[in-house]
Amino acid sequence: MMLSLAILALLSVAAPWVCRYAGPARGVVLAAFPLGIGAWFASKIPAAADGEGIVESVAWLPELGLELSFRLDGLSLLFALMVTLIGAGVLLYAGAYMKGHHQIGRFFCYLIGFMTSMLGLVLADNLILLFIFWELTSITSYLLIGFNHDKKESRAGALQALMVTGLGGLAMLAGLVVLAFAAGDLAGVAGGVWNMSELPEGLSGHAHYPWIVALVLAGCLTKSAQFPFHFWLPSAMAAPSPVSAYLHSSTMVKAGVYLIARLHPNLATGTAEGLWEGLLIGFGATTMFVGAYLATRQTLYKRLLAYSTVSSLGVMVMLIGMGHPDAAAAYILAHAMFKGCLFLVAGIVDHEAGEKDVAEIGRLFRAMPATALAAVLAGISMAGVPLAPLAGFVAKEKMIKAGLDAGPLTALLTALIIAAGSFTVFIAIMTGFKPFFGKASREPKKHAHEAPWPMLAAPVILAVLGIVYALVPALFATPVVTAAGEAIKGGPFEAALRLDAFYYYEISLALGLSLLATLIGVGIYFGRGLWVKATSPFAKLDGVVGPAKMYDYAMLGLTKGSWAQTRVLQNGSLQVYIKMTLVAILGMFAWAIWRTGFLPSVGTNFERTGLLEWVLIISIAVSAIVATRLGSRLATVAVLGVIGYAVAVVFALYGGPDAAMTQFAVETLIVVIFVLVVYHLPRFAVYSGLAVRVMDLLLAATFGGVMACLVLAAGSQELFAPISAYFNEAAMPETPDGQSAYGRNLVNIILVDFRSVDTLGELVVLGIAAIGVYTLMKLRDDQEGTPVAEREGDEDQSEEGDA
Amino acid sequence: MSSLLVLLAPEIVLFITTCIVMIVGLWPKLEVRSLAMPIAGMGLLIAGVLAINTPANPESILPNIIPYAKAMTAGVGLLLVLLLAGTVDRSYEAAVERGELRFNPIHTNRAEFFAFFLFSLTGLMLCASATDLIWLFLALELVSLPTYVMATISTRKLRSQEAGVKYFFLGALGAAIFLYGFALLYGGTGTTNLIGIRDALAEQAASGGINPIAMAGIILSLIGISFKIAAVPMHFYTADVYQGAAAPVSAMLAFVPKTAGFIAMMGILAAVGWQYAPGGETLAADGVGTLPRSIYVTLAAIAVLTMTVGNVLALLQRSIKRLLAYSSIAHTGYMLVALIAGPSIAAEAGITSNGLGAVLFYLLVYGVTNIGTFAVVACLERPQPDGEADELDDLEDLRGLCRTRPVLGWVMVICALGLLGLPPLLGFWAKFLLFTSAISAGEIALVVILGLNSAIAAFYYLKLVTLPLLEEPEGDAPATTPFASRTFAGVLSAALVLLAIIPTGIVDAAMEAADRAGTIVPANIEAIERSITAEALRDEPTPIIDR
Repeated sequence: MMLSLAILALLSVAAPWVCRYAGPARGVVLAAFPLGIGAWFASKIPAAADGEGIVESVAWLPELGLELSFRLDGLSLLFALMVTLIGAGVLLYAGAYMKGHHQIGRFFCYLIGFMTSMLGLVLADNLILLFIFWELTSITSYLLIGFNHDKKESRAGALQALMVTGLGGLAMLAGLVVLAFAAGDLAGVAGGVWNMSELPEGLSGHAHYPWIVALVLAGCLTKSAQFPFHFWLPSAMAAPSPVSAYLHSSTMVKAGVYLIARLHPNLATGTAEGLWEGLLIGFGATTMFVGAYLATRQTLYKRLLAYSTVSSLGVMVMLIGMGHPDAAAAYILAHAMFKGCLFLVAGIVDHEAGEKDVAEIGRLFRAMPATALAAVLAGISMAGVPLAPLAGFVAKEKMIKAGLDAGPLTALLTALIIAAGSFTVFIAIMTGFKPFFGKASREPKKHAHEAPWPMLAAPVILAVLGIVYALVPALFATPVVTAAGEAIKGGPFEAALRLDAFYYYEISLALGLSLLATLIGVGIYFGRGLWVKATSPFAKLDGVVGPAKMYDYAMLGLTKGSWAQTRVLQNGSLQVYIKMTLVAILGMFAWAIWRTGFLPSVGTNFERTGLLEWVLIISIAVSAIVATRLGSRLATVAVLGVIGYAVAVVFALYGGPDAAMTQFAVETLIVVIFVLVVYHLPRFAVYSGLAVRVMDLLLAATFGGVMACLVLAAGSQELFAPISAYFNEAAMPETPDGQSAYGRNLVNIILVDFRSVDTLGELVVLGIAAIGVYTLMKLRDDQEGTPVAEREGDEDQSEEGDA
Repeated sequence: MSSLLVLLAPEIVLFITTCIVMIVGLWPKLEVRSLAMPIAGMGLLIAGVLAINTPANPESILPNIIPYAKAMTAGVGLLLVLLLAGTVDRSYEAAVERGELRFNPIHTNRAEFFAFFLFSLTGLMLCASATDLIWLFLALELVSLPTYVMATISTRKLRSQEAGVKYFFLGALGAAIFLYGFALLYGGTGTTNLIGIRDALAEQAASGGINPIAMAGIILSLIGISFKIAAVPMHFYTADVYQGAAAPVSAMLAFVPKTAGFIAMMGILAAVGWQYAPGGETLAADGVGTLPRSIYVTLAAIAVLTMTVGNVLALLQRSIKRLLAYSSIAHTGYMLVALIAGPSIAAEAGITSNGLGAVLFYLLVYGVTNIGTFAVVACLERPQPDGEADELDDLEDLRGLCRTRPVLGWVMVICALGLLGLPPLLGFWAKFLLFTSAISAGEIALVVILGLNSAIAAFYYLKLVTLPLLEEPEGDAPATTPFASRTFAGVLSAALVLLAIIPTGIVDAAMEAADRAGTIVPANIEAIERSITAEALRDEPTPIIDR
């Protein structure tokens, strides 16, 4: 398995060279590899079918729980076969389809890169490994959808697809991690259980179960385009047709379905009312109906198919949720055949007749008979026409039977299935029949002709396989579907699966309902003008509040928010930044107080405050107010100096003469420096209006008030002895243990004894500063007569001085 | 004393290197002057080697952090030195070389520039060594003060000076706030020693709740330090400063102060501990809890706001440097989630549960990846009318870069994808560890918000990917700067980002660095200290509270 991944990865890197040297044979050469790998997988059907499957594992980062562990069981096998075999057909097809494109090498690089990721995804047993491949499919699909990136709609579609699936993917990563830890809890494994095959029983009883389900499903439902996240899939149709056929019908969009199926045995509760099942049935049934309905209003070939794919994905999710793994597996296989075929046909019609709109074209049968044959077969299969021995019929019968067996939901689900079935019949006629046999409203844009054989091979084979599926199921359908179904169920089926069409040839309610759906579908086809008119009010509604519109609104909101934030918060003004910071800090304090009720008690003990203190307090306050009102910088500096001196006096009053001395010196120095600098500055100018100033005053007062309260609160409690006691004791020569400093002047002792290394450091700093000053003075002398290159010289000097 | 010298050996080496660089950078001979950068690199290399072999410091609140943090500083510092080559004095030195000007030390900044750079890194290393609030404050300021000057002198444009002024003023505001917080913390606990604070707080919590003054101090400290890590509410400077400074300096600003801030926050939070009962400020009975409630809500609010604000602001940017600046804010928010989660206290927790280790690893990954993106900007320039080449900063300049300048183009693509966290690049593992550690601490809601934000981030990171990779070049290809070492720095970063296959060693180192941080209460301290001396750390089960 790892070898197959390695081969494909290498092929992806080598694809540009293959394209350059193999010329027209590139499709054949490239397709040979996945075909061979597919054949290998096909040979492993019996081995994979027995419960354990084939396991390969290499330790990678065991500490992180990551192992390169792969497991091939029935479910993986079903998907691996689709990835490789349909992939081979698509490569062959694309070799001709992309002929002459100037970036064809890059295209194949991305396409095979996607194939590798998708194959890795379905084979991975490790949750992290699965996520890695999951994201790689997203990114390669992004590159492929946006391949014609000179077109705006391609770019938009690619980004939309990536945003929706990427968002879901990250939620899923969170879900997978929660899942791994929860499993670790249950299994008693520290660090979590990271291999899906080792997940323990009973996850649905874990406290985090709702999180797991919600987050994992967020990833799966977005990836598999479930309503209301379906809108990215039609937009992704901007991709070249081989990409749409491969990624957006057969493989990538089914990744979500795959993971749902994979985790179903572990996350299912076993009852239809369970969270997991309920969500799956709800999302699946809605998607099935809405997707099919939306498709009926389309006329572009690929968009029709895209919406019908959305509907089909809904069917798969719903069937898994309803507990019919056999029906789900049968449907997945059948869908891959008929939908893949129709997408490729759409590409042929676009490529060879230049037409994209099925409402306009018709009568292409004569020009392209083989294509028409494949399309008709696939169309009948998709419609599930009663008694037609094709894969689609079998799958549809199983689906309707499942609907009729849904307990309390029977009526609702059956009605939805029949409604969606009718729409699907209509879509099948529009895509499989109308372009070839219907009425054409005008001549095709290009002279229509049959496609070359590499483009015909895949659709014809897929169409024919649809017959083989239903007529000789034992050949491949029964073993593959049985193995996959049992893997989804998590145990063997009681009875053997019947996939032969004739088994369903009996008069029954299911067959009758199927017939009814077909008739309604044909009816809609003939009355399609009326139908479009009747449903247009809903379409208008969808255009206003539909999910796609919601996505647009969200994107617009983000951009608008970004714009507004830039204008308001990031306008480049330092004042605004500081104000915002202060507001935010106050806000956070308020938030913390509101959320936790924590509030320091503020002491108001002014008993010890004497006259001198009051004088100081008042002079500080007055100075502060005056400083804000003065028009001259020099005067402001002087007033600020008053505050500094007053603080120094406070130090002196409360037994800190050394601190007071320092404060005096520093304050003087600062005032002097200020004066020197301020001398060069212009006078104050008033830029702000009264309102702004009042707001500023309020903000300053509030912030100052909060800070002052904190100081009061801190001052009002005495938690511990003042440190002076310690120094007094340690300095005394009388202390018995002889560890004392033998001195009486505390300041001296601190300087030369307790903190002697600091003093040494300060001396060194002073020395270095002195050397620096001397150097600068010497340089000034030398500088005479040197050409002055730049004016910056003086500024450098002042920086040096500050440092 | 001597043991302290051993612990501080890398800092001492860096300081000596700084002195040598200062002298060498002013030398009259050009050949000698050009040695300033290699000498700085050599000093970092030696400091890094010394750092790896530094023993654990039992007196530190984060006993095992020193080797990892300092080696990371030296390693990323080496990349930065390569990137910083030629940032200042380029036209002046060229003129001297052509013989148009006589060399005059007064007109050159090279010595100061590299010296300031090394000073800042020394400060960062000192942050990791800090055992005391005063030490921590001085170290944090040693980190930032040189960067103010570096941002200002990094180009001769007016915008650099504007950036420098804004950076300085807001930095001073931040410093004032966290210094105030430190003072209150001292007021509430009676000590500036971080281990002393831890014991005092644990004692208060055990006897009826933490002192509100101490709590207010911690909250103010965290808000003030949010300037260093560029978090809301002190993030405003980021875009203006990163855009104004030369790209190599911006790359440095995105790593050095951020790392210092996170290490400081870790130290302070480790002093508080992660074992408080949910909904209160008292210790949890089983020893497995969260941060105290008021710190938790503050940090959670900061984390959510930070990542959202950063990502939303980045959406519309046309300037690469502004975009990277806002994304730097967002990454801070991501890391805060793991910081909230903290080191797992459960005895048998695996390394995927250690939030502090996740932050330390993320810092390294972010630093390296970010250097790659800034290196591309630093390598591109276009001649201006005034004769001086100006670096390119518009997203449009990246158009078709993979075609015109393949090396730079691919460096940008790889590093942008790395920042996006695309698996299996290095950035993914970093983000993965954030996810696992936060989830194992039960912070699922925060992780979901983190995931949403990462998806928004894809919106703008993809511009950095698609423009060089998919678009066709338009007009003239941008010129490149003549500094091979810058390209080399970029290529090296991209190589490291790609080298995600074997991050185990580094992850282990990060986890070990965060081992046992903030998980200890007084009753167990003696036992722990004994076990440290016995060097049987890893075999000992992590102690939990046994009250």
